[in-house]
Amino acid sequence: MKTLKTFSAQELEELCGLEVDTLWVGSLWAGAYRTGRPRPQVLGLELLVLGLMVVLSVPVGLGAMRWSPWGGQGANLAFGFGVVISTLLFAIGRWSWMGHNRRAWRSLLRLLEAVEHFHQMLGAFKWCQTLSAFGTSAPMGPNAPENQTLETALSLTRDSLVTGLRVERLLRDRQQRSRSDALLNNLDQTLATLHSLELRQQATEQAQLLREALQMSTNVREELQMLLPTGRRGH
Amino acid sequence: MNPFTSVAQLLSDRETFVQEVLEGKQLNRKISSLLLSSFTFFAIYGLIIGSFHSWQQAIASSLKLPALYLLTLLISLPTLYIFNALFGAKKSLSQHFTLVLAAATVIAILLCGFAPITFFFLTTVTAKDYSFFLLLNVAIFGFTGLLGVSFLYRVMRPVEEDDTSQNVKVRTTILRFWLFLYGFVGSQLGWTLRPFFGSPGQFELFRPREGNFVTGVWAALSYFLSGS
Repeated sequence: MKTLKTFSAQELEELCGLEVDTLWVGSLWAGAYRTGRPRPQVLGLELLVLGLMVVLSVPVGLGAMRWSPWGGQGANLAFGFGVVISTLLFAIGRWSWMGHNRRAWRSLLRLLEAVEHFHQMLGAFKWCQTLSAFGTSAPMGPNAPENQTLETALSLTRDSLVTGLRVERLLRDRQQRSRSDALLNNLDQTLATLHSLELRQQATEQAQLLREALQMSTNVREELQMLLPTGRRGH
Repeated sequence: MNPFTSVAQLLSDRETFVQEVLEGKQLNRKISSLLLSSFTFFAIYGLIIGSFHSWQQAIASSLKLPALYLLTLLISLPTLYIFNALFGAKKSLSQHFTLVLAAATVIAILLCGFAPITFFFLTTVTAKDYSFFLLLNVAIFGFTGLLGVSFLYRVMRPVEEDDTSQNVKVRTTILRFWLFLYGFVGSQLGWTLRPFFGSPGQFELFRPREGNFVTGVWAALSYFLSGS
């Protein structure tokens, strides 16, 4: 049994080929904000970025002032005009690019949301394990076999997320279609195993967590199906 | 993202920070964090020194001070990168940018460290003591600048392990020359963007372009010492 662990930032970066922050993907300047982030935090960051854009526009304003035909107040107006126009152009360009990235990386953003959900599930599982260890003298309590099943399910879910992120990257880069097909076959096998686990454990307390694991892997499969060319979808 | 994450790492665990930069780990995140935090710290200090004159000057200085430091960095960076690359440096432009930006952030943090002292003098001196306030800040800017530059020298200094000693010598000379250039560009940009404090009288966004940084400091020093 592999040790269950969360996805580190570095692992996500390797899987996606992009930097993954808690708030954005790619970069703050030319990437995309992740979905479901707290608005005040994003707004605060955007205000700081806007301030930086104003600062970076100062050379444009100085240029406008240097070559303006007016002196005194007129030159200051030329500076202000240069800064405002340049900041607006910067901001519009950046926002358009980020919007484009957001559309292009829609699947990646959803997969990253699933990764976050997986982290929550893992947290819940570890919490249950701790509680069960407190309740009995044995390390995993009387539910050891069920815990084992859950651990397998979570491990499979992790694998399906890794596969999902890999396939998304391959399709995004439009490379190695055959490799993405092989990865999708693996994902289908993972789904089948999760199905059988869920069927066996339907009556137990852990069924809810198992259902969630299965649902997550199914979502990953569906997300990738949407990315695939029409011929491969029916697989 | 917490914009101050990299600053915390820079302050508490500088070796790891520099090592990660040299390994190219999460440079985008570091650059974003350093840019945003240095901008914030410079803006805070600019707001304080500008409020010596008026609220208009405070707002103008809160934008001018970050502009001074960050633009100086952006203007001088290509020279450093191109010359280093020419003499065998393996660091990328992003790595150069991150290290130089880290030095600017160190200066910004140090300035913020001086902020209570500046604020104390701001509240205890009058508008007539403009020259004193100006010289006090020139001293603070000089001191923090020196510390920032020495930080940059330490992290950027090439080592012989990865290159021939001849190239290392040339790159060390380039770095020293560049630090001088950085100060030179910075002082001229500062002179162009002045006033940061605002001399007694009406608020003005920019002063007429005349003289340079050295003549300006000399004039303030003469005025302070002669008292007229």
